[in-house]
Amino acid sequence: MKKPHNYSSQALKKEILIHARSLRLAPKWAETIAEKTATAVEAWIRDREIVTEADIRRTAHKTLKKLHPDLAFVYKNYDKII
Amino acid sequence: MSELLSIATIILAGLIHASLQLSLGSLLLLYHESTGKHIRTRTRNIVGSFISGVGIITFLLLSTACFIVLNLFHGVFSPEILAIIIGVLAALAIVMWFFYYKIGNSTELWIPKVVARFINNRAKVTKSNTEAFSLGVLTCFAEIPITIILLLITASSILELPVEYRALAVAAYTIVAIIPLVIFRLAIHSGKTVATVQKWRLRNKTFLRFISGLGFLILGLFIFSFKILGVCL
Repeated sequence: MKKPHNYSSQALKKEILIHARSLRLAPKWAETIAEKTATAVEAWIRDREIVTEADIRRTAHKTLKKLHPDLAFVYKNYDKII
Repeated sequence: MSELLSIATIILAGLIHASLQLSLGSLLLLYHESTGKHIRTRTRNIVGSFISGVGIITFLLLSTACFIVLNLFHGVFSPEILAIIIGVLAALAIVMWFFYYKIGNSTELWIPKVVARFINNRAKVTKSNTEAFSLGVLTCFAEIPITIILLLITASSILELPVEYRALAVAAYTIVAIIPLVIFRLAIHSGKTVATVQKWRLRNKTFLRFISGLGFLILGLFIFSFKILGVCL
């Protein structure tokens, strides 16, 4: 079992930016998407004391799907490639 | 005519090797991580090094298989060994159809979790060409439980060819085996993204699985017909 740790919006943004760069998104557009996703996740976890990584990934994926479906697809599936 | 049979066996085995998905999956992962972190030229070099790693180690493994077949079996498999090989090929066909891919909407493979995690982690931290080359070598070794039988069959077919064509045949097998990686590189070069390639793999997962299994079965039947029953063209 993983040790509990604090949620970091910076880590989430960094991860989304890596995926966005690999899809060759314009840097500004990628940053906007990362920012909006991090904000949505933060708003979702605000009144919760404990959340799991899976919850965060699900919420981020939901937001990403509206903003950029391909990015959402990669975000959800990149660890299921092999 | 026996040369023609040998060449056909080498090409068929190479195509089956090419249909395996671990190297392609690893390359996709490596490319994804690399484009996310590095400039395009560095990524291109890293991808090139990975493909070189796979190619060179496949070439060397096949050469080793030739050496083993030549020294342990005097270059020709006995009918008993061929019968065992056909049994293994049939078993691998079943493995390909039912167990190679994990169930679910992903392209995850039934390889040991430790190996999959290690390849995943290595792909994430790979920065240099040497590391990419080593990752290519590693994926080749991880696939050995499946490819060893293909390498042995190919080695035996190569040893039936005249000496001057053997190195060429090893190179031909290697080129056929790395074709999907080269196609992937060209696809990326022509503007396709990781999402497009991965979606294609997901859409065609059943087809890829069927083709791989069928390939093993056809190779088994091919060996049974031409090497055990001794049917001549």
